[in-house]
Amino acid sequence: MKPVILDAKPVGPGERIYVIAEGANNHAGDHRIAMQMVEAAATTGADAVKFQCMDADEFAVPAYEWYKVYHQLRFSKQQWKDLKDRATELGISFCVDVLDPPSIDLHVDIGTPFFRLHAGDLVNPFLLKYAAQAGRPLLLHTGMTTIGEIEFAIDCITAAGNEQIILLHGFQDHPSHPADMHLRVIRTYQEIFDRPVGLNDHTTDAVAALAGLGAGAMAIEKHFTTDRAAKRYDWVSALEPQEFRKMVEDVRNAETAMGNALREPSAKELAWRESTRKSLVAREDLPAGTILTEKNVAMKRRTPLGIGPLDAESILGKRLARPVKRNDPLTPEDLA
Amino acid sequence: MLRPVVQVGGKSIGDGHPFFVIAEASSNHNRDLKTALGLVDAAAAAGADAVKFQAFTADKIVARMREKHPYLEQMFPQAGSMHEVYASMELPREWLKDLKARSEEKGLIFLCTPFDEEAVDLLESLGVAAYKIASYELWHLPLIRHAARTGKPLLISTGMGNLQAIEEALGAVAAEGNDQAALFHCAINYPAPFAELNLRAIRTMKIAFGVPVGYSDHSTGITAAIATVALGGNLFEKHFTLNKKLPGPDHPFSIEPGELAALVRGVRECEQALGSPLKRMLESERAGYVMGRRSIFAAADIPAGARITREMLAILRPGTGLEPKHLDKVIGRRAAADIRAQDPITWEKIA
Repeated sequence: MKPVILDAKPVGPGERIYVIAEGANNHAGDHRIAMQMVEAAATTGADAVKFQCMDADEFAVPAYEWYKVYHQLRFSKQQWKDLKDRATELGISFCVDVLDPPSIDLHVDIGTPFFRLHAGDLVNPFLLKYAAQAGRPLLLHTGMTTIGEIEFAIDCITAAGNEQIILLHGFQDHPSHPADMHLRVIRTYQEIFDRPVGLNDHTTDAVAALAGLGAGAMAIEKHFTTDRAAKRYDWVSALEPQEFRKMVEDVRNAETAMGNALREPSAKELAWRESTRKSLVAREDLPAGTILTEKNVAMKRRTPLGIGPLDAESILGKRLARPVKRNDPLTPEDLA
Repeated sequence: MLRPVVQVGGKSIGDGHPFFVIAEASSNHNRDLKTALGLVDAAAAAGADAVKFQAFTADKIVARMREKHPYLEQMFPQAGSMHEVYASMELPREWLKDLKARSEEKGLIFLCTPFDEEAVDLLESLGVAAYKIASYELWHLPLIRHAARTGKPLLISTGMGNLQAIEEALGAVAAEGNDQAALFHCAINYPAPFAELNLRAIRTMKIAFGVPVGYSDHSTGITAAIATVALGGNLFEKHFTLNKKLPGPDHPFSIEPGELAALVRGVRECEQALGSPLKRMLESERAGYVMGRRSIFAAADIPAGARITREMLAILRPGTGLEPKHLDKVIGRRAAADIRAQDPITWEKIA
């Protein structure tokens, strides 16, 4: 499996878990709030902050229930550029869900480094192809799709010459419940498609993200807001900066904890072994000439380690050359 | 929800059950009933689980046009049309009853690939155990639905198909209320070069769909069969003929009865050989373990009280003395009693 590079950071097996703060539409169309979200996300340790970009008239028909809202959410090209530049300045990558062709054009123009395609577009060859031709890495949100539909999306993108694909598993509810997460699918995607896989988490806490990491997720996306109480959009499963920072910390600790698959005692474990494995000692004061038996020796903890229980067979039946006091270790030199 | 194990003629096909081998007679009967019955007998003698024929009619499989399938074009350079080619290979449907009876008499499950709905109906009236769907028919959803409505398991070949096409076919089976389908991965070229088999896709299909998966083999020899068992496949289909030199499109890449028997034997051996994932010594290896390993022996007579040196010791078979890892603990000790050359060293013999 080849890693995919997101704004200079590789995402793939053995790479650091990539964390995306999904701002979605929590700005409610207020550019000032969006700017605050970028600034807040930059303090959480997230690798990227993400919003959704749509051109209402290209995205939905006027009769669609959210059409008017889409108009309210609109930012100008300059406003998008300001958000992106601010993110860059603060050292956090900037990305967007591109929901229609004009949004792709806009973000190509301002240099947004990678895009995410919404689950609703995974069976839309027109947008898949257009996004692929932008030549940027694409995150594919695979919620609500079948294996065959994901294959279709990947085929559309690769046919357009773009191999930089990361699959994101995750079901979006408001919020999503643990029973709907099916984190084992992360491994299924890796086995079938041999591409980096991440998790799109819409539960209300960090449990699924951490479990997803254990299940093999290489990227974690989680909704983010500066003010959940404001209940703008996408707030239900969004974490506030303090909570998001804690989640990133937990993710970093969890990925460190995943460690190495080879069973080899570490230096710390070897020290632990020194202090807890048992040594052969005299069970009672033993005079010179005593024949050692299981009755007059004992296996007890002591430091430093002496002869271990595994070597008892080389000791038992031997005669002591000199007296050994109760609880003192038995050494080869004590033997006749 | 499709089942992970399907039932075909009293046999279970899926993980934890014996590998299922189908001897594919295809059109290798050359429209001769005696040859067809001979194929059944040969499949039984080889130890296959099932024998399979194909029920197509020229009128119902191909349009009357001049374009030819590339492989059949090569095999039938003189034929005027594909229709003519298929007509020359049709299995007379009145044979089906006899072939099924002979199969059952020989302890084989009788299978036949229907290429049209009427063939399904006829086979259903004969009481067949399952329906094979050919790779080219993976996209013939009306046929798949018709076969699925019988409630019998569908064994679906997927050559040329991607996950999306398979998903659609399996969806059609499930939509008819049928929960039994198994898949064959397949590379359709005749013969299929080994580099095109991509047998790893068997595992992909198992993970993607959770149904039994096997391989329908157009490569030469029996390698793919053994590999399919080793990869965790559940079933296998192989073209066979009484004689590769007979005229007809399927004979050249088919195996003959002796090879079919070798295939079944190889499959059964491989199933046994896969065994347990535990790494350990078997009880049956214990005698070898004792006699074959090395241990520490006296290389020369060592008198009681002598300080033991490396030169006095040898590390030899059998493993009846101290293990070689104790060598450093033995050197420098004194002999507790006289030790004779060629005696194993034990803790009792050293002080």
